[in-house]
Amino acid sequence: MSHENLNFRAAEISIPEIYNASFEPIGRSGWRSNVVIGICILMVLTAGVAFARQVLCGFWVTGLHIPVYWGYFIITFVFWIGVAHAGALISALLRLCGAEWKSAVTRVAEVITLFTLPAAASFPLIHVGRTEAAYYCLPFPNHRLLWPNFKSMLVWDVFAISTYLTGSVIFLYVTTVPDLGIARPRMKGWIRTVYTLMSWGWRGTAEEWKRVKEAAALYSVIILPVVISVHTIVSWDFAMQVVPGWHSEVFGPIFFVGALYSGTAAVFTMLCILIWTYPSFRLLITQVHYDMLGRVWLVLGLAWAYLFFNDFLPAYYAHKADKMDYLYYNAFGAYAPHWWMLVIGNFVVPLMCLAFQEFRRSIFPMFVLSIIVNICMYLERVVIIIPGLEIYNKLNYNILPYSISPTEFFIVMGTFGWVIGGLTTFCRIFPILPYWELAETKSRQIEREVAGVPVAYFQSGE
Amino acid sequence: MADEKPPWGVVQWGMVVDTDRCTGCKACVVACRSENNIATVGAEQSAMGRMMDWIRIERMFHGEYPNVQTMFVPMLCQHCGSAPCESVCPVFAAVGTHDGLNAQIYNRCVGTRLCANNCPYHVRMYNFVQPKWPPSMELLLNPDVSVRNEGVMEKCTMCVQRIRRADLDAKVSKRPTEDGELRPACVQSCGAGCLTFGDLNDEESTISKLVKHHAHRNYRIGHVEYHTAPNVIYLRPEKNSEALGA
Repeated sequence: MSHENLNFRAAEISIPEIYNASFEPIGRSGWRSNVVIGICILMVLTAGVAFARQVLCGFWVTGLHIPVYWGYFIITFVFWIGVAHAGALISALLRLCGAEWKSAVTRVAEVITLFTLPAAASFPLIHVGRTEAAYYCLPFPNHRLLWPNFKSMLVWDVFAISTYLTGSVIFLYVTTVPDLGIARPRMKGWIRTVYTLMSWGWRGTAEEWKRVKEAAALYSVIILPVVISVHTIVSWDFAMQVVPGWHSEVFGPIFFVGALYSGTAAVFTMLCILIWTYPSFRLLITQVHYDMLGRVWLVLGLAWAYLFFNDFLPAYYAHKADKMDYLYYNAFGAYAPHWWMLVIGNFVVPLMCLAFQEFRRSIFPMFVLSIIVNICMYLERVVIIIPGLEIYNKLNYNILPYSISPTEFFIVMGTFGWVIGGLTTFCRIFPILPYWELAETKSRQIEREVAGVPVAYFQSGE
Repeated sequence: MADEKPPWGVVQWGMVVDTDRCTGCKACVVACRSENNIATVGAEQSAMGRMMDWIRIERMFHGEYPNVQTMFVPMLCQHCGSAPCESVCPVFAAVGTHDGLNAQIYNRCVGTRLCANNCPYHVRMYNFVQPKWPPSMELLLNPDVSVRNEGVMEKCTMCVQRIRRADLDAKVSKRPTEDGELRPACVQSCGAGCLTFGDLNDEESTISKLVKHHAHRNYRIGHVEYHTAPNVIYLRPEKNSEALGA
């Protein structure tokens, strides 16, 4: 393969072509996306009905019972928080590392955060017994001078998630404003009005560009500690309890790395669907992006596997009884199918596949692998949360296992509908690829001949 | 709390459970249900594991057939001095009181259920079903105890309504609350004298004397593993000193 084919940097694409490819899909509606959005609205409505029934009837409509007080609501909460970490990793981390190839995938990752984080944040409200009183967790002024319990990790959750949601929305918006201003002239109808209002009179002066770039750099630095704290605090909801299998010292890093791992999987799923839906994006999202992001994904997968086995190995060699009960219940008991599937799907299969460049560069296999990892990371949360509570059962009159009820199933599916439908709608209204970042990177490209081989590289931005 | 403080300063309510005396008759369970307006959830929900017993009788078997020994262990909220449930509640619905109790404030509870996950004794009960009584039975409800709604956590209070009543009586008479002045419903109904209630800080109280006299049998369940410092002290059986753990 020649150098040019492998490298997006040297690919022959001009800035006007980037402009057309980025903004072409906006405002168009096809029957495919109509069907997807329609199904998603149906799923959200079903979830609304199921939630209303749960509020009116009581919590007996769920599958929860006395030893197993937490179930699929919390599992899906952790899953969505994990997927939401994609935004932070790809935008902030790659931006700080100066990875030039990241431009094409940043906004995809940020938009995934935009929709998955509200989906995650809805679950604590859905799963508390008295949703109407959930605002007690906020420090609001009241005549009895009651504060929330700042010792409780659930209160930390409230602050961590709301901070991350605010931060990531601002991050996304600040980096979108130039695109809205640039694309405004070519838009028609109500979309043009939306662009006019949301671009805040963007003119593209040197001062404005300086501020956007400074803001993007600043937010990248600020959002990283936030994102690390968010998933660590979510892991503390479990790690600080006495439940065996929950109480683990490595849960902070394992949740964080697992979140990045599943978040990257979600970005790959989204990229594949985008390429399939909008063929013009093939110019901008190339095999190079798959290759580079695939390498990051492989490293994250290995880090996750290291931490996952590290959770069990010290306990195994130290003969720690409760942790071993939990491991045997997982690996050879009721949750054996889940457990082995997640070991294979999260560790064995991705390692075998991602180690090869040919695999990383092929779109459809990567799509399949991203779906497998998404499912297996969901299973990881299942085997973290439920088996621990089941073996922690010390009641001698009740040894029921937990199983999901239709109410829980429909509410969980409703959040999937919200995320998928939200992403589809976003792509129809707003530019999903950051035109200005792509064009800016392109404009800094310099080509030179080194020892007879044409080499493309980038002048430093600032 | 009575204005007249006892000479030893702070009251620490506690209970002693003599496992040698428990016959497993479950009179305490019934008394607790009627004293504290604990709802029944029906056969179907009970089979799903959603019944609520603030006190329950655990059965433990020791030995091989034919030399099997059965032991009954009444299990109720241990009113931990260092309670795992209190630190995880986001809204202070689970709080420790000044007199050593572990209180549950139903109006404040939002139902996160994390306290129940974190309780090593599984004594925190969640209202999965809106409690209902037949109209004729509503007159039997104890007016001193609030009826809990669906969606809140509830648990043993050591019959805090009786404690507060006795405190008020003592306050009116301008004296500290006396030993033996009040008994929770389970203690009151225990025919075998297995349960004893009192102030652990009062060295002259019946409960303190029991603890001292049976010092070799004292055992606090879960304290070794979880460092919960329970205010319920169990007395191991004389015959089988290994029971209840090491």
